[in-house]
Amino acid sequence: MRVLIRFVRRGQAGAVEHRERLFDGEAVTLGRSTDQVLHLKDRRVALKHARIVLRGAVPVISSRAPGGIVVNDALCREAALRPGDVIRIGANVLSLFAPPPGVDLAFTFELDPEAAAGEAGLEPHRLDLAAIGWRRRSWSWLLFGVVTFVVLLVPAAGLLDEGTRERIRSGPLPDDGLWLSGPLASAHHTTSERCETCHRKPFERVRNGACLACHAGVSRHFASAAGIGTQLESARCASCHAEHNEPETLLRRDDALCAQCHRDIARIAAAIATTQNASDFHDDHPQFRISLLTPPGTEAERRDGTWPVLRVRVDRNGLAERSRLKFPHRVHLDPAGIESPEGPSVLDCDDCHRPQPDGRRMQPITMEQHCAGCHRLDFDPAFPDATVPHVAASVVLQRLVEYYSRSYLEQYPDPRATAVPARRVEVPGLVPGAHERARMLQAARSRAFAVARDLFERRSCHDCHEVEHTGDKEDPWRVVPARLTAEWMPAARFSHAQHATALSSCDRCHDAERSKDAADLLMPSIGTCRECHGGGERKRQTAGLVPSGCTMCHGFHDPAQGPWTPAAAR
Amino acid sequence: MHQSILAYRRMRYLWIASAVSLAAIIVYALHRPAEPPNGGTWLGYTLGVAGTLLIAWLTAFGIRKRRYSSTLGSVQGWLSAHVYLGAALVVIATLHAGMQFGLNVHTLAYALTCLVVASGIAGVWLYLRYPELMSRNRVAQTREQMLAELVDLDRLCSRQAAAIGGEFPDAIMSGRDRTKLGGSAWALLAGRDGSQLLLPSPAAGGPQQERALPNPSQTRLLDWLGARLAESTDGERTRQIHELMSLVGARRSLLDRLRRDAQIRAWLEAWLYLHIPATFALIAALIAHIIVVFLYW
Repeated sequence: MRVLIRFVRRGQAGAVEHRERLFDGEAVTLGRSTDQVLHLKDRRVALKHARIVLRGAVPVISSRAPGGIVVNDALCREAALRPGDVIRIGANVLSLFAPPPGVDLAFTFELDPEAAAGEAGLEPHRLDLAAIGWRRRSWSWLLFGVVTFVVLLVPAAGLLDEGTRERIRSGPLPDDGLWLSGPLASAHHTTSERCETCHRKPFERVRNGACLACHAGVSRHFASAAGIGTQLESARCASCHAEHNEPETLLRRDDALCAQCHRDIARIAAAIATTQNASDFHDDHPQFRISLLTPPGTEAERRDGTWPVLRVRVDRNGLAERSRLKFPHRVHLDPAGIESPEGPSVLDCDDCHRPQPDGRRMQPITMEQHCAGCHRLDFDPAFPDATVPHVAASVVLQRLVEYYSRSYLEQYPDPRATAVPARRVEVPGLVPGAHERARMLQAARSRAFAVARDLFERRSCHDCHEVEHTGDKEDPWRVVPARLTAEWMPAARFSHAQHATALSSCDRCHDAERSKDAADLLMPSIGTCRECHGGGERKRQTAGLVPSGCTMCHGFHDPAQGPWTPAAAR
Repeated sequence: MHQSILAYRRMRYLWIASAVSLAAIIVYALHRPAEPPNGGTWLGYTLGVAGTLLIAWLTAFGIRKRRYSSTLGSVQGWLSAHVYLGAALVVIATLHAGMQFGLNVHTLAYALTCLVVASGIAGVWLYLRYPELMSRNRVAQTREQMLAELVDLDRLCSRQAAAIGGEFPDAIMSGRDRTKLGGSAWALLAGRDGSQLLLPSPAAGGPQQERALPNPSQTRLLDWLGARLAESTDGERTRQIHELMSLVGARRSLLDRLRRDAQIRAWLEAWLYLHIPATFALIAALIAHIIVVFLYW
């Protein structure tokens, strides 16, 4: 498309100045932008206002600008152009005339002086940010509004009623999850992460009632009968159990809280005779006391089989475990091995002592599980497979009498037995007479008593148990009941599993390898623990020691003290 | 004598801000709350109240600087304190949060605090550096003087081009009309020259060049004029073209200075377009934060 453009400028004295330009291109573009073919310096004109293209042989002008174009005084969007047409865009006037040969379109271009006067000349340069439409104030209020709306008003709409809350939560709108001040502790995911489970009333601190709704069986700290620490009974759960923290810490662990009372607990709780002051594990903590089982002393205890628990300092002189068992640890832990039916066998601590699945206390030791493998209760070398059960002495004796009676009567006499009647005539098919049977039974009984004496006074039973003579000829022996202490330190939590590290082995705390006697007390004293454990969190600077606060070993809620119902309204 | 706002009264407010920050850090380090450090411990509440008051006071600077009749300290003193205590706010806010962050309204308030302070620091840097660049660039002229000089040069160029005749008036007019100064944020801040040029064809009467081409720093026009100069065999014409070239060259350097001036001024303002709206967003987030922590207490 070849276009002839004639620029016309009218001087003040009516002189007319022409300048012509020949344009060759696909389209004549008109607009305020500097890259347009015809650059229109007029604010009313759009950046890319209009374009003229050849459609067939007919030039067509079209405009998508809001102002449109005026062709022959008619406002339009598109128009086919013929010579004689006049196009107005703002103050710019294009008048078409017949194109000379070889040219597709020809027009004059001039500025309408009247229209231009209203425009006040050239467009001013926009040289600062305010001039290009940046507005601090409106942006500020816009952002203020957006933030308030998104993080406050929309989530807060959920407080109106439950339906709105659920609609907001299930939709894409911002909900009160935005208000979470920290992740929920993992134990509390059962609340389905609904804020209102605990935050029941706006602008009110979480009350105990919300906690107790689930934690109904929470225990007291001490028996309230003692009449002390009433402020504890009415405390807020959340004052110790704070949610939404990182790292997750549902439990208050500062010694200061405990020390408030326990620093001077002997005076505060004088009614509880056993209480002792403690404020810091490393610097102010009494020696451990153990709960030592002691054999029944009184007649009633003996009758009921109750073993009184003696609370006693672990370091008391002459303290002995009186389990009524004979057990030298040293012999069993001999590095060269101990004699067993299968030959010498090297034992390790964990052959007998295995922690409970929770890693804390040890599983109980039983004869059947831990001892019987070596300590087999056979009683007659001629019949090594025959054993007596591990039951009361009278029953064992009864079993032996039955065993030998049956053997004798079935005429399976012990070949080496001296009590067998030597001159007995064995006639096939002959039934022993009453006299003969009585004699045989008497012999069997004597045999059984002889074997039992051997068992109770010299061998198997005697190896481990104390055996008493009852003075009763029919039931002459009694094995003194034995019991092992299952829980030495019930007031403290201790995990064997957590202590099974490269730094500690069993013998670091329990000197079993040198213990010759079952009476040796193998429980460690506080000094042993303090080799690794320092004071509470505040004292973590104690060189190289594990900071150990009260709650590392002790709990606040003591199940032994019964259920506690703190004031739900608080 | 000019004194930097940073050095105001021998950095009095630097010392105050450092002392406040240091005190907060020391107390925080010694503080062993029963729960992990957070905004709900006594220290957390204290720092929160301090931070809120500080934000209110820092925001009040926007009001104080407009009160020309106020005698409540000098604006210079206020600004110095605004800068240093604003930086201390980041320390206080961080300790208040107890280093606990998440995708929530609380961390939004913290992030906006950091954004406002960072944009403020950028502003301080610009204010310390750019005014000198600006006066060096202006060579003791105001922007209005430069613009008036531009109009003058345009007229001189047009007259000279008309005297030469031929395609020169078109070329000069196109160069003038399609000169771009500012116009968009990008052009202002990057100092980009979007000027263009639609040149007449070399042989008069031949078809015109179809598209306008970039003409940054009027280089294309000067090149074109240079080519015409080389072609010229007429001594008078050569002199005239030479004259025109020097006029266009002067216009070019004036345009460059104007553009640089606009760029510097735009940067001196641009940070405020972040600083102020972010402050308002921060205040909104802060209000939400304070309401929400007690709403779900």
